[in-house]
Amino acid sequence: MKSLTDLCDALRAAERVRIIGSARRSAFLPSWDGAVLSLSSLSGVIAHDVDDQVVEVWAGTSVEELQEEIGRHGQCLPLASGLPLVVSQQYGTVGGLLATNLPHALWAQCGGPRDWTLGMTVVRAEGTSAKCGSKAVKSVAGYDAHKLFVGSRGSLGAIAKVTLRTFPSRALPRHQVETFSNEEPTHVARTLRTEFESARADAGRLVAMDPASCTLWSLNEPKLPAESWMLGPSGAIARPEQSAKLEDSARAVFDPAHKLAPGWQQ
Amino acid sequence: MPPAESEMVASLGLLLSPDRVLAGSAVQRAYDCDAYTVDRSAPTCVVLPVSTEEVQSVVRWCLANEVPYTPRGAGTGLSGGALAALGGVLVSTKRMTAVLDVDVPNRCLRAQAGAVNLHLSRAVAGDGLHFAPDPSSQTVSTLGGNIAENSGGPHTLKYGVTVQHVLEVTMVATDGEVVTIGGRLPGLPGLDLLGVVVGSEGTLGIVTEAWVRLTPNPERVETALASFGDTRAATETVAAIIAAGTIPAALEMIDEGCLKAVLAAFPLDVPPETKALLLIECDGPAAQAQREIALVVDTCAQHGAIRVDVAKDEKERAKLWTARKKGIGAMGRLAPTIVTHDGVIPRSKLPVMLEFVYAVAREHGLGVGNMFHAGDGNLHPIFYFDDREEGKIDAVVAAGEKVIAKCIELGGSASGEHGIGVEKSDLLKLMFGPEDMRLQRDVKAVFHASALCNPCKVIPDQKGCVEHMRRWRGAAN
Repeated sequence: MKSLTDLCDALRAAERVRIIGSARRSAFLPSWDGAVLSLSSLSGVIAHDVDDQVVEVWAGTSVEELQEEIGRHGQCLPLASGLPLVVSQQYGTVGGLLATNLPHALWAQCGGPRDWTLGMTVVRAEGTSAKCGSKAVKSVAGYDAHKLFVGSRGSLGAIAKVTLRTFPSRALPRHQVETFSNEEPTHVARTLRTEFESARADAGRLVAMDPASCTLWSLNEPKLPAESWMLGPSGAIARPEQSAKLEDSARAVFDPAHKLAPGWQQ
Repeated sequence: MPPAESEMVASLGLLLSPDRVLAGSAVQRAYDCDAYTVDRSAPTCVVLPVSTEEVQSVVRWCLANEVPYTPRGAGTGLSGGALAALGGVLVSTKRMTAVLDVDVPNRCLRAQAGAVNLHLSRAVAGDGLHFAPDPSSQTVSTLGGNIAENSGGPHTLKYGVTVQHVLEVTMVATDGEVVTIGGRLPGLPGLDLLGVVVGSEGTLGIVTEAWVRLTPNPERVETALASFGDTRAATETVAAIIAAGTIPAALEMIDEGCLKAVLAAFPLDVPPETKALLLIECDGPAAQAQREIALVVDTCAQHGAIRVDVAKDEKERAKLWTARKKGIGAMGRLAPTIVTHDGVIPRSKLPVMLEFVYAVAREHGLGVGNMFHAGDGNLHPIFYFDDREEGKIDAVVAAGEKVIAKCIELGGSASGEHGIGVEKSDLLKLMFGPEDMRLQRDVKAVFHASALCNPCKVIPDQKGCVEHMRRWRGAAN
């Protein structure tokens, strides 16, 4: 796959498919035996507007490649290094980083992919492409469709290219993550500040913790207070009650033919 | 057939109480527009619910009787979002002002939609916290309005816009159900429906309550005022400050057109040859704020600033910010009517964009001043004119559209913070092609948006919107 047209054709032709980048975060997704559509060959930096601190990139670009490319101009995505990969999120493809929207070490200081995404071109389940957002650092023109795709785990369509805000590398704040092992965590959880200490004590096999964002990374399912949320293996999520009706509605509108693999355990 | 006015007032009076349903010609005049005064359309009546349940009962009544309804906060919106475009019921949140929960240890609070922005910060001032979004209207504009418009403000450059500070909303959806979206903890797994609701201009439902994040007050704030003898030097400095690796808390610009009005209203001491001012604020831990402001002062000097003053104390800082925040009001001294536009561009395009704005104003015989969030590339050209002169309204609409088209051409957007509302509903297609617009419609469809909830805004698909637009624009598009 080399172009947006190729991606449109592939999705149009697909019957039931999981959209992937490098599939390196797939441990957090429901297991899937069916066909996959990999975007990892749809890669490369399209434009880096150095003065504006904005970069447009194909979703299949690896995070490392993007960091290297914009790093030459003293800029970066605010992801920390030297930590277990699931904690740093410095791996896989840019599309995978956005689609899974997992917590990372500098989340409290610099926000997450949702906050860095200014615009996007997506390919819909039926194989048409559409864009949303802009290259401006803030915009309130129309609905923020791109926010719906960040964290959607490929369940609404494919992220084809994205416009991201970059950060000056030398102004990057220090993270406060404390690590306890080098193993890759299988569970990520976030708690209220007031419940963080007790949740941490009950967390079991803790890999890392970030007191700034009250996030815990562990090797087992932590015991959590009611208002917390958790991501686990095979698409497991736990969270306070939400309007499931609206999420079902989103899937019905964006994937009426049920072409796309689920992003969470239903 | 929708009910007659008297029947509507009587029915809604039974649902709420008669004294909280307003009708009559004086009310209709008072509520026929928000702060976007170019377009006017009167509601049949105005209701003043006090709770989520009352909003729900009003919405259900409107759905059952096929009456359009439009939410309204303080009415400070600048794109007509709170305009009752097809008449019907205007649902005012003015009686929903309570701060319901304050959770200082977890840095969040829950308030009703009608709570005034600044009152949220006041509620936690003693705890060293504040609500970060700070639109210029913050002394009156409401939380619900800020959520609807995803409001910005000077400090969004560093702290982000409203969406980054809203954790959970309670909303009366367009089918009359009460739904909760989001949660007290940020980053909730699942679809980011909250990110779509914030900024949806009240078209996907009526938000009645919200949990918001509170931000610790910075240890130190440093504010500088840089005077430039040349507008282009000022706009180039903006890009240079950011490119140097500093993210100031705020980076605002005031050009010559605004300066004369601002100086007449607020006595600021600036050199007489000043053509543009930059107001720059850095905050954070003391050492960092001081290091950053020193870097900013250097950058200004290198780019030709004729003078840079750093505020010595809180009083001086307050004076600088008063001039900026109340500056648009001061523009009223220049002409009977002012219209504030809003467009956004990548910030390196500011010099060329500003020159374009001056050329457009000249071409249409309008006065123009610019006072805006330069660091975000968020332009606010303020056209001033006498609306009693024939053709001036058409000229200001035409000039505004040219400015927006140029913003989009330069990679920007039709709106940085005022929203689409009715003002720009036909400009979205300059940004978005047919497939892009279908994506927009589908996002709306996720929320089962009805034809009755805030019609003719953002995507004016509802029956009657074309006629509405024809009426106020004097031409069909």
